[in-house]
Amino acid sequence: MSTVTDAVAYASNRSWRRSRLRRGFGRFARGPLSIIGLIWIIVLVVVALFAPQLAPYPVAGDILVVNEAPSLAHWFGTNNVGQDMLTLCMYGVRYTLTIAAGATILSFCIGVFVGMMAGLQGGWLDQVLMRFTDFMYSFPSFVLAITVIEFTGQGIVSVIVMLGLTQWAGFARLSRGMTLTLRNSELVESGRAIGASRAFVIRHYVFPHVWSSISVYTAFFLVNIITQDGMLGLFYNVGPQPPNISFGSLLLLNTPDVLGFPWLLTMPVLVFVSILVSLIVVGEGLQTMLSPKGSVNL
Amino acid sequence: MSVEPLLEVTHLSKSFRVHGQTLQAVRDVSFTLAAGETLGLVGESGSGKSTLGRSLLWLLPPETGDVRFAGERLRTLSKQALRSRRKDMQIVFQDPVSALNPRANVFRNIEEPLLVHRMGTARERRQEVARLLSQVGLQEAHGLAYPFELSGGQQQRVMIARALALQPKLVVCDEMLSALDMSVQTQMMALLQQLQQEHHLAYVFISHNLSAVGYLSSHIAVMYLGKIVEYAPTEQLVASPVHPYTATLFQSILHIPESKAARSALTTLPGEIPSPVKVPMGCAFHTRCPHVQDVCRTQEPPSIQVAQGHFVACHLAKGDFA
Repeated sequence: MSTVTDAVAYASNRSWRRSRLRRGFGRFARGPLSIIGLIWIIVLVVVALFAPQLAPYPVAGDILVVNEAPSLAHWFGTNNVGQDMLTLCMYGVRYTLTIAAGATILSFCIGVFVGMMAGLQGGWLDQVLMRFTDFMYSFPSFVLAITVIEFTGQGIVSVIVMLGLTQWAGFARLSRGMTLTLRNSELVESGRAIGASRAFVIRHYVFPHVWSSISVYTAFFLVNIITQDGMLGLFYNVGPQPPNISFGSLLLLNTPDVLGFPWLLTMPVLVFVSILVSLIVVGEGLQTMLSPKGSVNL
Repeated sequence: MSVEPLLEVTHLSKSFRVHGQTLQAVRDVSFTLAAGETLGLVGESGSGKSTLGRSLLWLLPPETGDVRFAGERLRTLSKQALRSRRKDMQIVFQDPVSALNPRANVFRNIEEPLLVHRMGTARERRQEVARLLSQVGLQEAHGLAYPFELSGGQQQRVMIARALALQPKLVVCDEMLSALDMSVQTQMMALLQQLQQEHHLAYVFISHNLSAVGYLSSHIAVMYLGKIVEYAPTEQLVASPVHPYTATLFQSILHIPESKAARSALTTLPGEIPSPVKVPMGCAFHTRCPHVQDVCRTQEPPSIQVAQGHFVACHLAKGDFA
């Protein structure tokens, strides 16, 4: 008797959620690379959050220590105006992750909304929305982004908004596809059969289904956004105001001196690449975790 | 007889647009079903059984005709009113794997109807789900499992528990036996009977398993190309089927022969069921009917009563019984 009540009590509320998460994480953790990547991302997030407190030197730099090679005092060396490269990299991480998170959240919201609307409504709305999505997909959105940033100024917010508003087409396509497979399914029908409202069906049946396939894409989307932001800084000199600095501008700034002082390029590039690689690795971990081979309960 | 039936379907038609053509899935179907009774819907694949089942629940709203359920015309109900009416009319799907939420465990799947209609506190719902689980013959611990972790029979039990959670008056069982093996089918039928007695449920039992339909139903409706061609109380229909299609359908039930010599030759209908996109003129069955006459090719036979409560739509029936 007690085991029965225990079991029911256990099944109540949120505990089943937790047990499911634990099972999923077990599959994620099977790949050691994914775990390393995840840990590294957590470290970077902490660095991003507390860059002003963690940075060993002020951003302004010290004119007495110009172009120093990496040492115990300056792990990543210094540049031609005496700025500590480790400090700059930390601010770079802070800026990059802010942009990546902001633009991804924005793109995700727009794209998933458009995709699910198109998929659920069908008909002419679907046609209009998807043609617009195709347009956004093929339009040189980068050019648009740069043009608008020229007008709105170079704040973090305008970079986020511009990348977010132009890059959502992939989210829209993916979520529309997933929604379409569900729209006429027995699952949705059984939701309607119990008298569930449209909102309930979307929230409990459609969105979780869309999310399971889109979460992996999101990880790779972050990589894409970070790269794009890097290019904005490097090739177009579009970036934030000091003390924030994008990796792109960091590279651009230091490129003239790179022949004599290679650490000016290698150190930021290493950090930058480590962000991308760990995101990719985490994305692949997610994929294993969510794939039908790893689990049946997709 | 003057008691108002629980379900009254009148002139219900449902068609779909498929590649610019019209597929007539259900054509002008009428019948009634009293509370606590079972209507068996039989017919070949593509005869419109499942569409009819979904249309009468207004999951696929029919174009013409109406459904009167417990005195209310479903066509007149607002979306909101219809949603709350769904408490009384439920469906058990053929394939529980695709109809149950794969991301939620069994407990949550059964609780969901109660959540949707905001019934009870969390504690009451928990007790209710536990009660439902034991009612359909599952352990309370099964509530923790995910649908894919259960056997086909157990999944179907979960599906039934989910349908029963709202204490409906009518349950449409759409081919719910077809994915199960024989012994489990029998278990399910026993469960359905037991639940019917306990809750005075009415079933619309859709199946191509004729023996099961004969066993469970008080009335049987035989469908062919979207139309009910014969409708009668079960005993009456089994004893004296009138429509040639019904007759061949019942001949297709196999009995295990006692000896090799006792094996009779198998009789089959020639050809296949015509496409519901191009329904034949006249009687839809005339392309395959062994007794076809000229009138069958041109005129659609009306449904006539050949005995008390026994309706047939066949030109030949007139001469024999009317």
